[in-house]
Amino acid sequence: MNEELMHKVQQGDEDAYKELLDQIGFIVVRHIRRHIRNEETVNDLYQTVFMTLHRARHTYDTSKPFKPWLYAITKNVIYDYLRKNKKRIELEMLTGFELTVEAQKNTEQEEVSLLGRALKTLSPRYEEAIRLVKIDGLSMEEAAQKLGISKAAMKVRAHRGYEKLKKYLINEAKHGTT
Amino acid sequence: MEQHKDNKKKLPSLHDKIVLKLSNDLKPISFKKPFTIFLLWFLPSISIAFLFALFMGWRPDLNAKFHTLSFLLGWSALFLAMIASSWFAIKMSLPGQEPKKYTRIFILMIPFVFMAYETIRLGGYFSWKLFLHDLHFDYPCTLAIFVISFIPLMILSFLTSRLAPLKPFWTAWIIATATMLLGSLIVELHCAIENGCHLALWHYFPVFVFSFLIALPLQRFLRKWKSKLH
Repeated sequence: MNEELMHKVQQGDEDAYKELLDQIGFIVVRHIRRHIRNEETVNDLYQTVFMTLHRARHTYDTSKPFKPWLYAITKNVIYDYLRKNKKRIELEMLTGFELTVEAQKNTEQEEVSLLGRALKTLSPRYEEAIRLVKIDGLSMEEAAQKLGISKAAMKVRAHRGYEKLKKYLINEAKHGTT
Repeated sequence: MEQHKDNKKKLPSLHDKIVLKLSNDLKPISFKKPFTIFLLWFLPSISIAFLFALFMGWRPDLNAKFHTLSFLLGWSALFLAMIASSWFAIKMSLPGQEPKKYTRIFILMIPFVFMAYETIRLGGYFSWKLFLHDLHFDYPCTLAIFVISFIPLMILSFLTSRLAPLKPFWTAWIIATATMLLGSLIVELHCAIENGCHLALWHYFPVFVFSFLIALPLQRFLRKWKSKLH
């Protein structure tokens, strides 16, 4: 079905193209939402997938199934985004907050300052451990070397730090004191 | 139909706008089969490479060499590796048809393993005399490999950039390997030095080093299709 539509698209049939994009829209958005929760980012990636698909439409071989071609493009757009925003996403996972590049500057500043406040509530040893691993992007081994402790001790310290940080942020979010 | 309507409700609000934008003034396009693209690269490239070989001259013992099983097998293995790399470079540029990661590593490893084997088999010793000999030679092997590969590299890069390489670095690396292998194969028909050290240093090592170095800027060129509208 999609293969036939795509064949017509390659011949320049606008109606077939509209029908095809309507049909695949749900598959694409579901795939993106599996990886991204922020709705604005989902919209951006959705647009990027469609643009990429449009630019690559001459590479689709109509004798082959359509879905692997579509998934390859969708997956590539998502992974490209995840790779470029690795550090920010780690922060999102850590805090449970969705700090987005696309968010309004004010909101972003508020979230960053909230994170800063949260970090200050921790004891210096936990704060430093989290800064090294999650903000400066050092590996556990590198961070352990920097602090002059063993890798196992570093892991324990970072883990305890996350737990305390998470607890503080959840508490803040519940009471809406941002 | 109901299911389709339900699904449409869950789409981002900009869906209709994008669909309208993309479908407006849609132009017909044609899909070129990978084999056609391969021939578009292979035929001019092999012709250019042989013209270079004619210009540089054949090695004096070439006839005898082609009757030697080890040379014949080695040359054919590299030739097949070159064909496989160029074919996979084209496949890498077609979404959904890309070879898996292990296949890509395998493709890049074949010439490496073979060349390492050849170097060990032929053995050799390092001498400054041998090293400098190549620098004074009419067509230094490394330079010849680079010059021979240049036009095939341009052709294959151009052809793949017209497709849609989703992994530009890997594609660029495989393209560069394929074309450098072609250069190396032609130089083997010209250079009669049978010393493992010479082969490793002037024939094989540049294939790996150049292909990796070329891949770095080439990947940027292969990314450009994403910002173009056909």
